[in-house]
Amino acid sequence: MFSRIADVQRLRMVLIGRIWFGVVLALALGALLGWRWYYLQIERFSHFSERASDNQITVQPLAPVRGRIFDRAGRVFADNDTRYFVKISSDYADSVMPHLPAIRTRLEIDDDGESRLAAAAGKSVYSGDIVVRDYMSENEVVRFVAIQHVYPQAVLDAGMYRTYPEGDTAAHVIGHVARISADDKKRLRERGLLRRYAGSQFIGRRGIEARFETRMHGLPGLREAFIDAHGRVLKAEQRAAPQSGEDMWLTIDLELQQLAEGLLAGREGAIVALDPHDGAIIALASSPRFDPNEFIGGVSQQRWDELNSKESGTPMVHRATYGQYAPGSTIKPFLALAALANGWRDADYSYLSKGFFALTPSVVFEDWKEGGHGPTDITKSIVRSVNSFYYQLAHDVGVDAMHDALAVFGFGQPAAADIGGGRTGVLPTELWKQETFGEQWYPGDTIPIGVGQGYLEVTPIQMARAMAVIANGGRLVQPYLATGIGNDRIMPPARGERLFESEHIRIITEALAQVTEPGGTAYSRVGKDSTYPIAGKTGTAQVTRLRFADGERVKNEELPEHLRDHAWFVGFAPAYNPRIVVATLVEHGGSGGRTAGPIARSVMDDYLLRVLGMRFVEEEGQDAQAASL
Amino acid sequence: MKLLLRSLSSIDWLLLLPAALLFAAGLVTLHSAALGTGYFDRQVAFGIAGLVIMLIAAAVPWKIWKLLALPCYLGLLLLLAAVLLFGSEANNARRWLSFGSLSVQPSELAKLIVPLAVACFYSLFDKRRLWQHFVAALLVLVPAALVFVQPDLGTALMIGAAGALVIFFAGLPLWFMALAALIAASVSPYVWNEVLKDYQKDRIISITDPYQDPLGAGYHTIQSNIAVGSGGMWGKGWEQGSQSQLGFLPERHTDFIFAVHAEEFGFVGSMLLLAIIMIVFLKMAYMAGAARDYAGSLTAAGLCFAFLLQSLINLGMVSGVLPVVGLPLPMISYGGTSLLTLFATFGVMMAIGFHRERRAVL
Repeated sequence: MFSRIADVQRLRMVLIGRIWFGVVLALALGALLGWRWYYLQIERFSHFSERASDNQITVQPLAPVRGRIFDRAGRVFADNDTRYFVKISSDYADSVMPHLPAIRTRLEIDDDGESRLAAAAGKSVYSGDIVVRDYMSENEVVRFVAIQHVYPQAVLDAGMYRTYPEGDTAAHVIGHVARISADDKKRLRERGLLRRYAGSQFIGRRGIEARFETRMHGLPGLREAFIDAHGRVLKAEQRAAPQSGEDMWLTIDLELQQLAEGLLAGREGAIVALDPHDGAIIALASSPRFDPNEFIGGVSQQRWDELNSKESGTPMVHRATYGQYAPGSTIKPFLALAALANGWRDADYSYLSKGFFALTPSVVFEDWKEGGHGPTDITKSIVRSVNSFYYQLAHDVGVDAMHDALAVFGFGQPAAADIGGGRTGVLPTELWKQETFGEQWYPGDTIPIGVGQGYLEVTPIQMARAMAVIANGGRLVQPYLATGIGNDRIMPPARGERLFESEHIRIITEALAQVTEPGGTAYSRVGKDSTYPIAGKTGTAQVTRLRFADGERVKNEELPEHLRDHAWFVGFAPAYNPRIVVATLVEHGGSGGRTAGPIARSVMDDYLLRVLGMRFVEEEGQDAQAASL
Repeated sequence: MKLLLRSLSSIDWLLLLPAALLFAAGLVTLHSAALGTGYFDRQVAFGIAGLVIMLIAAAVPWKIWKLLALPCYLGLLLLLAAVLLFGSEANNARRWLSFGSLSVQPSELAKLIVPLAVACFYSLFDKRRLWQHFVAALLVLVPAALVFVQPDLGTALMIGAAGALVIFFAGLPLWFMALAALIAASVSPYVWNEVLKDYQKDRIISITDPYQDPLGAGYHTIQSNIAVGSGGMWGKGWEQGSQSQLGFLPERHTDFIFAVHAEEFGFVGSMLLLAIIMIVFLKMAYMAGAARDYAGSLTAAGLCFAFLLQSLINLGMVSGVLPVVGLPLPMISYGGTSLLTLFATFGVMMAIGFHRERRAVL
């Protein structure tokens, strides 16, 4: 009995002893907790206090409105439009996901938006708004508003986006914007410009949009926002207003551009129209083209491959500045002018065309007219496009001399001042061939250069620029597009020195004018019925050298289209008081006068008669006087 | 009438007053933490219901409680099993039993019933034998395991701890504890690799470096540290805490309610709250030591240390020194079953304290 009491007593003693132990331990742990709070709340108070306010205040960038792009008359190439989109806070992703099929019956959901929503549904932490439908049509907006009260988590919002109202008009010139990529960010960071893009989604890619990006983009504004943990803005204060990007004015005439593009429709080719006196680009057409609006949201790889395929005519290539073609006979007036200027030939010189030029008895270069053209002076060599005259000239002076003479006209260098250069073309020398092909220059390589064949390659804009030298009395101009940005007027690039004597210019100009007159190679297609005189030169660039079958020369029309010659017409008008230079190239267009000529004539007509409003008094002979209204 | 008198006379005002003060302090913070929700009103209603339950529990004589221990324990097992079978699922866990509009969290009841049952089991024997401890451990592990698979790691650990405390106070040999510690240390790598789920591991890792995953596992710890730390000496004022009011603090009306308290009432408020908790604890510890009946003494010791342990774990978690486990702060956090269980616990404590039966012999 007593032992039982003793046992219970012993257990009590153990219990009470351990309670004491526990109490002491508990008090010690409580003290440790107090020490921890002292550390958090007293010692590190300022740190946590700062962190708490960081949590609540965010500085939000306000994206600027991008500058617009206008043509010379203020017609819009690139504008900004309102875009409507539906967003859902990531907090609601969980609750919205089950309703998605129901929402889908009234609102199309973007695939990207859906996958981001699904990803956010699994996480409890706020990760921002998710745009589930972007670029909504007005119809969609109206339909969505009608059901919005059922799904209050889905919020309709609006923003700005870039739009190109004229679609593919001047697409290569204007370029487009695209979403800022990781590469863009890296580049901007290196240049220290990344901060300007806080809040921006797009950056200029290609053309004017890329070239003048820095000024057209503008500067972001800032607002300080008090937010809660769900990112909801409780109160916002604007600290700095965004600064809109600067508008751009171009030299291009939108209507003329569209006319030029229409003339090229269905073909591959380019048209360059310049003001011969200062190099202002009036039209810069290339065909086929792309629609810049397609690029704003990004194009798929498949579409991109399609846009670069030969089957669709490589619409991404800007043929006016990046297409390189043999100039054909259009090179002749420049060689002729150079021959006069350098004293290789004088005004009285006469060459007897017998129908061919024989480098050696076995290496023979033919005239296009069987039997030859008979006695030929400089004027006739241009008007009748006498090949043998230029074979002889090329043979006499050699390739290096021709290189130097043609370089004066801007061949062999990028032509455009402010549209990203363009290609250089090929202006060969003996050394060039050695370096490029590791082969020596043969005399047989020199002869075709005289008629714009062989290794010689030029771009359409180089051609127009060279013709402007003859049109404006002998100065090299720099083609340019931008006349103004924001409040600044952009002065045209400085003109070059006068390079040629006016007498020499006059001889060539008259010869070029005769080309479009009865008896010239371009009368029926260009000069006929014109109220003003036109100076110009046709050209036919051979695509293939194999032109003989069964010992007979094959007619161009009988060749498959991709082997047919490229057609050129380069000229200016009015011939004696020029206001416009036009270079036209039609790929596989066959004879220059037939396809390229009428196109150039239409462009000249539109510019002189409609844009400038010139009226011409019909007179006998070549001395028609221009009288502008 | 007799029952009412008995229940009034059994009230231990020295326990009721600090407990009521703790509850009142909790209501003040909850009002701020649950602005714009119905939690405050419901908590008040639960508090009133809790007082009634406390009075009833206190009025039930301790010897009746001892008889009720086994049926209560078996009922608890049934409820826990029912939760697994018919419980309503939320956040990938089954923790609730719904009776119409009322839902009950049986795992909370276990915090009272398990210590009671284990203590009563021990009181059947006058001498300690090792097998008693194994049976006691089994009595603890079965309900704890049922809660663990819900899954509810925090509550399961707490039930296990409450039972372990009773086993400890019942006289578990020291050498055995040393051995158990050794074994625990050796199996912990296995537990880490095979038993714990990834989210549970992340929570433990995030204590050492919450900034490894600031928006994931570390988010709770970071935000509650900011809330506590930015409270400073005097706090930002009632309902003025930016962390709490702007929603940066997760689960601010349940597990993280102390962060709201600390942010709005500062170091001084935190220390006052800790003081009230300690007073409640010390009063209960005194009652445990002073109880006439050994079973009552053991039950009271288990209940009071479980109360303190859960409080310290919750405070440690909110203060960023312990991993985030889902344990509410007793008397403060919102939660009906938890609150009712706590009031019932106080009632049982009072019944134990009121027990004046003379010692069986002499």
